[in-house]
This record gives sequence, structure tokens and C-alpha cells, in this order.
Amino acid sequence: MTELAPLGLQAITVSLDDTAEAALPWVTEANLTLPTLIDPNMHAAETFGLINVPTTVWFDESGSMVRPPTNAPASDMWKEFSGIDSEVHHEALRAWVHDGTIDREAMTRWSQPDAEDQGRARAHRRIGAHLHRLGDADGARHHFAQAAELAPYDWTIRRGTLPLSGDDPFGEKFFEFVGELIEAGMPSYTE
Amino acid sequence: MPTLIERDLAEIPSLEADGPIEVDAESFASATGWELKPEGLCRGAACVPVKGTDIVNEGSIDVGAFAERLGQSVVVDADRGIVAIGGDPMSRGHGASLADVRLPSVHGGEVDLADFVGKKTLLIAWASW
Repeated sequence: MTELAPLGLQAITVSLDDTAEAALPWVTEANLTLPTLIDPNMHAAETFGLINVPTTVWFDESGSMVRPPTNAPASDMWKEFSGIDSEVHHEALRAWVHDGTIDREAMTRWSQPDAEDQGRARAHRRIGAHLHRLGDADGARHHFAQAAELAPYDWTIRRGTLPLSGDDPFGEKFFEFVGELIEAGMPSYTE
Repeated sequence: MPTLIERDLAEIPSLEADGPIEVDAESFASATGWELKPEGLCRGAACVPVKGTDIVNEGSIDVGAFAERLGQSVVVDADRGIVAIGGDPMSRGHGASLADVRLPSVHGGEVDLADFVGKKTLLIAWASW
């Protein structure tokens, strides 16, 4: 950002956590001066098609989304797992900010991994999150299960709801999910 | 009272397991941000014309009809009195804009992402999970 901000790039961060309390320790530790927003009702996630984190979305000067959501790890810790090279994203970002270089066809090529009904899955996830907040754990689990069935490769559902169900995001259910991803050829990851 | 959930929540007068879900325009706007204007139902940078459709009846919004128009889905949990709308950018075609979204700040208050229009913007989505 120090390189690109003087060239006219601004950045905003959005946490897909369920509450500000969940996001705040991370924000505080990272000492972010960037806007730190939260998306507990998956509103930005739905509008911009976010199904995993960390993900970046680019908007041009008119506010239009110009590039499909990109899995963009900051480092290569996950490179072996995901097959994504973070430097590719950094280079593309530099080219866009410096020269306006952008693949205009990318948005029309954008497709998301197979989901029986992504919209329906998001509706179930919304109900589940609401019930969780009301203390209806059974109701929450029921709706999260429906969401998972409808959008099995959506990380905001398969992983993001684990803390809300009282499950360990690094536990058995997560590794079950990872197994499915690997078997399906890593469908969550796009260019 | 039953609840409608989309990007926010609103209480609605009634909810049946079957049959149309009709919500007054004000409650619909509270829950979704889509406001009824002469041009139609508008949110952020978009307006959806409603004249000549079955979406609006005497100031009430037919939730199912509106969701269908946008290619979105409606899920009803009649036992618990909750209805939620869920969508996907794919179904609406491409063309999402910063101006379509308003989000809480982690420090409190709300931010209209339209405020960021004017410069190239990089949105970084993350989570503690």
C-alpha cells in the first residue's frame, strides 16, 4: 500500500466474522489504519460473491467491480495447499494501479464453484446466524447444515459457521471439508 | 413477531408456511435496504422497476416476486417465524458496485461504501476463522 497509495489506490478491509468482538483482537494487533468494516450478515459477501478469505476485490474509479474475487494470500504459507502464488496477484495489482492494465474479460468469465443453490444457501446461513444470536443452537445447526449441503465449497459456510456451531475451525469438520475440496480438485480457487 | 432477514432484520406482521409473503414497504426497506420510489425499488446504485409487475400491491412488497425478479432465493422457517432472502451475483449478472453496499465499522457506526467511489479501491476480505 505504501507503494501504491500515492498512485491513487485506496484499500478497505472487511471482516466476514459474525461480530465486531471476533474481529477486534485481530484489528488491534495488526494496528490497521485502513477502514475496518464487518459483514456479519454476509451483505458484501453476497454482493461481491465472496466465498472464502482472504480475498480481494477490485473496484475502478466509478465504483464498479472490475475483477472477480481473488484468493490472495499475503504470503506463500498456503501456496502448496492452494496452488496460488501470491506474487501473481501483487504483480497484477501493480500493473493495474500503475498503468490501468486489467483483463476486461475476466468479469464475464467469472464463474463460481458448483453450488446447488448459492442464494438459498446464503438465506439458510442468514437464518442460522440469527438463531445462533438468539441462543437457538439446534435451529442454527439445522440451517447451517442446509446451507452446507447447498453450497459445499463455500468457505464462509463450511468453515465460517464452525465457531457459531461450537465446532473448532481447525477440527474434524474442517478437515472433512478440506478432504472434499481436494477430491473435487480445489473448486473454491479461481484465477 | 416474525422476522425478515436480508442484510438487516425487520419484524413483519405475519408469516405463513405457504402462500405469498407480503411485507409493508417500510419494513422491507429496513430489512433489505430496497426503498420504494417512483422509479421502483432502489438500493445504492440500482433501481428495479416494479410497474407492470406483481411485486408491489398497494404499498406492500411481495417478497417472493421481488426475489424471483433478482434471481434470488427465499427460505422460510415457519415454525420459528423467520424468512430470509439470499442471493448471488451470478444470478443478477455482473455489475456490482461499491455503492450497493453499506457495512458496520468494527469501531461502531455504519459506512456507506459509496463514499469510496472516485479512486481505485482494493477491498480485502478476511476473517478470524
